[in-house]
Amino acid sequence: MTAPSHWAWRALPALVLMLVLPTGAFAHAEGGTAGAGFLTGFLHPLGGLDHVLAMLAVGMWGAQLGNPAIWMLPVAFPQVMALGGVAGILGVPLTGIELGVTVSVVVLGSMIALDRRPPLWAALVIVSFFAVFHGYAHGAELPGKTGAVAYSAGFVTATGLIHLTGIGIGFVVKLPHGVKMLRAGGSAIAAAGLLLAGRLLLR
Amino acid sequence: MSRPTTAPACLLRPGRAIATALFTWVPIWIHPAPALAHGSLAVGDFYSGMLHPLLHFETLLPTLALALWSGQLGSPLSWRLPVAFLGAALVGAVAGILEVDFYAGPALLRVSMLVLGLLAAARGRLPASLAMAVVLLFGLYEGQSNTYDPEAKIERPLLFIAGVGSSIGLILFHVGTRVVRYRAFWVQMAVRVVGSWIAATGLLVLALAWAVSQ
Repeated sequence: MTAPSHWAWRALPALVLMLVLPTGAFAHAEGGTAGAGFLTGFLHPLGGLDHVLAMLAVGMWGAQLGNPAIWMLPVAFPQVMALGGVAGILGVPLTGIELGVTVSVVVLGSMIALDRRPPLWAALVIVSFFAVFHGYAHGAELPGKTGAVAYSAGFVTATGLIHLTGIGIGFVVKLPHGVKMLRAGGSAIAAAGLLLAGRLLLR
Repeated sequence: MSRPTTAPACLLRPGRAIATALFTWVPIWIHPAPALAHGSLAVGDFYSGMLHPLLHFETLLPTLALALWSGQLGSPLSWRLPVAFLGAALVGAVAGILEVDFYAGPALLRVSMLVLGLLAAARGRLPASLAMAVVLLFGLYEGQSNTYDPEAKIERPLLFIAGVGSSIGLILFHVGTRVVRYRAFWVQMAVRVVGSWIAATGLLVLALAWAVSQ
């Protein structure tokens, strides 16, 4: 057997299928079909800058903290997020959702920037605090129609992939000056969080 | 278990295999394909049976979660549980065709998503008999859900069931053996992370269904 080709070549059939299969019904497929539901759910967490920044920060912080946090945070986060989502779906009153998210951007960014290493339980509590707000904000908007499974799966997958991206970014610590670069990234996130919070309060 | 030196290189490179899987499946899910989702593709009953568990998240996710969970448990559960699940799914599918219906909506599929996902995320160890009972129940139900779909026009049921069984088996053994084989740290981490995603999806969907029913 010859050596396998690059994975991109092996994914080619899927690409060809995507190009060949009809896309005409996309316009009216809102919540209807499995594919469209997954796409809608997948794009949802990517739409808000505050959510994306906080989830990137969760991954980066996990990478900075190292083993057990690096895998425990991405395993625990979806569960707590889903619990927050359940609260949102059931309409449990919870105020200050958007402020909570922006505050967690600032807190998580500062943790990375200051290279804080709290005990694991404290890190989990800080991250869970954000996860509840994040889940609640999205849970309140979940569609209650058919395609809910595809939507939820897309939503959870996108959230998780942002964590993994954050962990990937966090691996810069392996490079020379990587620790400084990661801390600089954390300060940038914290600064962005402050701007977002300011905009929210002045609105 | 030691790696056979003659295995094809693609089997020894989990990174490539996972990248290929991601770059194949995520586009297919994201890609809007209404014709496929309606299950009325004119490709014959074997193939529509094969597509049925793959294109519906309610059947795909519990199957995937079982593969991720049982693969972490090591022999003999790592093969006994998938075999039991597949057998129960076939029985359930046949029962659906024979109109022995115990299908009561997708609620139990979502429960299985949550339970199996949590077990995969936590690498949960149940007593063997309890694990077997759980897997048999979920398998029976998942098999039934494939043939119960009123939108699927099944002309040759045996072919359809053979298709359902082969794709469920494919997911279970393909994913399961990879989980058993690769003990690298990041692969174990990825397995548990994906299990956690599946459990979170199940929890959200259960809450959503409950809220809609109120």
